[in-house]
Amino acid sequence: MALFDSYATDGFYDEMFQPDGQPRPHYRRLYQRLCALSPEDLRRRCQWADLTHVPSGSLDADDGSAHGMIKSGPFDLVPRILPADEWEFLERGVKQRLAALNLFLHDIYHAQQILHDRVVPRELVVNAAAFQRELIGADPPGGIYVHICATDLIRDADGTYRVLEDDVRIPSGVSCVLANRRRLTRLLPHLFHDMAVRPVDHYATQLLHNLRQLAPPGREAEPNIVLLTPRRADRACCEDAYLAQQIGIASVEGRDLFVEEALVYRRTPHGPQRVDVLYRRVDDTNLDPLAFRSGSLRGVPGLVNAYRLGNVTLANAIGTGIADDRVIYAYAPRIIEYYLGEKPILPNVDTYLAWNPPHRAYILANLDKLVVKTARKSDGGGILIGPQASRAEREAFAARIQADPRHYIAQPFVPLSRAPAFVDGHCEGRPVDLRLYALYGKDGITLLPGALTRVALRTGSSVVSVPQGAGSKDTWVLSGILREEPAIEPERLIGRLRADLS
Amino acid sequence: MRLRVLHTTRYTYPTPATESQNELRLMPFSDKDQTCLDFRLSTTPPARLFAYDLPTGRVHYFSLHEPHSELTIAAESLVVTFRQDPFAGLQLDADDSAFYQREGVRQRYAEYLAPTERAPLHPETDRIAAVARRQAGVGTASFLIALTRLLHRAFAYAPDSTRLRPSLQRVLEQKQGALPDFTHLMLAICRRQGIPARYVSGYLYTGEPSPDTARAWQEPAETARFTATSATWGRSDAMHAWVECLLPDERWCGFDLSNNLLTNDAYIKVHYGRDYGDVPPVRGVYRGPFAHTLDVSVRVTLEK
Repeated sequence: MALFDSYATDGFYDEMFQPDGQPRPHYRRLYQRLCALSPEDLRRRCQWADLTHVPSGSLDADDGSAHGMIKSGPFDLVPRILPADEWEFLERGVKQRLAALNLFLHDIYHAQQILHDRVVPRELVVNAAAFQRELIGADPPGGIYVHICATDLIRDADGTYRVLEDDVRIPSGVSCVLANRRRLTRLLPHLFHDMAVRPVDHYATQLLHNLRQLAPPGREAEPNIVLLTPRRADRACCEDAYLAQQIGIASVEGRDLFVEEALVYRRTPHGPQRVDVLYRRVDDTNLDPLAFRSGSLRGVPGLVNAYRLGNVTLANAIGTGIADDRVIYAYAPRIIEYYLGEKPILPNVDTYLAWNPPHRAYILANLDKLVVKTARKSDGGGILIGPQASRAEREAFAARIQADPRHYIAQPFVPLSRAPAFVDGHCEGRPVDLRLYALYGKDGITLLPGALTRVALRTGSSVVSVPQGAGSKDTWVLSGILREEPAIEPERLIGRLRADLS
Repeated sequence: MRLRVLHTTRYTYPTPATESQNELRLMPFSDKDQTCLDFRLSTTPPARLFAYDLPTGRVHYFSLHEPHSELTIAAESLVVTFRQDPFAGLQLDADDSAFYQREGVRQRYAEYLAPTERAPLHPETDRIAAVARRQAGVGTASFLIALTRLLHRAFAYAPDSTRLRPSLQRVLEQKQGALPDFTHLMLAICRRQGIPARYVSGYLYTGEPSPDTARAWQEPAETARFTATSATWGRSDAMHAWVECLLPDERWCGFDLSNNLLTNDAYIKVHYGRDYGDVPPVRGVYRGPFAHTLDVSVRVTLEK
């Protein structure tokens, strides 16, 4: 049996196939090449994929872990393709969004103009745990708060891309993008032939370039950049080690650093070494026991004051978490219009705020149709998929919403777009999402021309976010060159050559 | 009044401490009610001092890396205060409750209306508020004066009862606690009534210099390896605390529970915040012995 014989789109928006069953133009060549492979061959390559598996971690922001990254999911061999025009659209949309979120962060930590103009209710910002009021007035170099941003998108039943959430704290999963590309080029190299797939491996170089430019004044010539990880030996932090290695910087823990006279130093066998830029993979509250009194042994006492006094750059800046609060997310379209005077390019998923009494009434009356989430990703355990939940589960959630409305939001149940995944010897449609990575440096915003596509491999799961245990796919961004070129089968190509010759 | 303040904080450790990192909120505020003319800060052993401004006051920061078994922080300030008659312009008999329901007010002062860990919104506080309302006129200022008097009379001041930070619930049950506990209680009551309220740390000029016998109230250190210390007021001669409430003319008015007074020119405001957690005069982390002794002395004198 061939790979796609029993493939059905089941009425979902399918990334590879048009509703009439024909592969979309940008997938045509890949489709032909996949069809040329026997299921047995693909199965064998899958096993190799498992053997060569790098535990680089897929991610799940809802598990409540400090990092949002974890368990490495299985790798699916069928890549996802983003044609150049779609990419250009996504790129503009993400850049617009990140520029606006960064302006928002600068504003709320300075004049709070957007709050005084009542575009975003002030209480939602200043009373949020992620708002660090001790950082009011602090000026990160270049006015950049979010150096690394991940944007999660989904595609609804019409194929419209919608932003599901932003991660402007410690986005993870990029190592997965790099590893997936490496794996697929090794396992199915011929798939890439003539495809003009844009490379992703310059990500680390770009990030290093940006971080170097953000060194404190006087330290630009040879800035010392390190990656701060919560626990170097912890498996959950292997992404940190991987990133540090890719960027070519040292990975340190809090105890490897100390602050003296508001300067940050790293303890080394050769004596203390001044640190200028910290790519920190540690939550705000675990950065500095002096500033945040977390009771945690992790962190570097005095670090926040060194940062506040401009002697060290932190990427991302402290206090960015407020911008990816899911309640603030609901205001993102208004934030974009307020600062940029433009309509948002990428729409949000419609969001109801339990904080707002009319919305709350709507949510409570329609729990069976909605997906309810906690406002903070780190809250954990907090998702109710209304249509799939039992009555008891819905009632439990209703009580939680009423007890703490500020911390719950609801969204309509969005059937995710699907893409073929290799399961049980053939291809089946599986729900996917899309995580894009943007870097913000003094030269502006750049997007990694690739993405993490997470795929829900278990049958029947299709929710507003790809659930735990998801796998991931290599994601190809095509450069424009081959966009319009029709796929030509080799036999015909030979035929045409002959025709040309005769 | 021209007031000079000498505020000394001394930590003594049984064995030397190292890697001491400290934040100070000791510099008097400058606003329309007072001007800080001079401020000198010094530490023994000497350390390089850094400073930055928050909207709520200035923060100083220093670190000490060499082993030391004693750390003294001396802050000397000269302040002129102006608010001679706190009752001037106070509306006592007008019903001004509509002001507090305005959405603009609720947003502009949102942080001073929200519950905090130390000042949670507690339904029991409604009873206290109701009693104060009965004793007061219709105006909010009148209610706040009655509330201050009520808390001043009903609660016993017992600094030693609170070596550990008690919950609001416990303060309500036992009707005793230290000044920060009552201050938090008043914050909780006001906020639940929809009146923006904030915690103020500062000094009070009481006439004559008081003896140097301040006692410390300290937070339990959270870990053995890093020890967190937090010096605060002990008796009325140490650092003082009061509540500021927003009145309908958008003016903050101070209410001192321990003396049943509206704050006047004898009060020097140093730092304000949502609760004590935003204003500790000395906050530090060091590596060394858990045990330490803390001596705080505050002397406020009138400058002729």
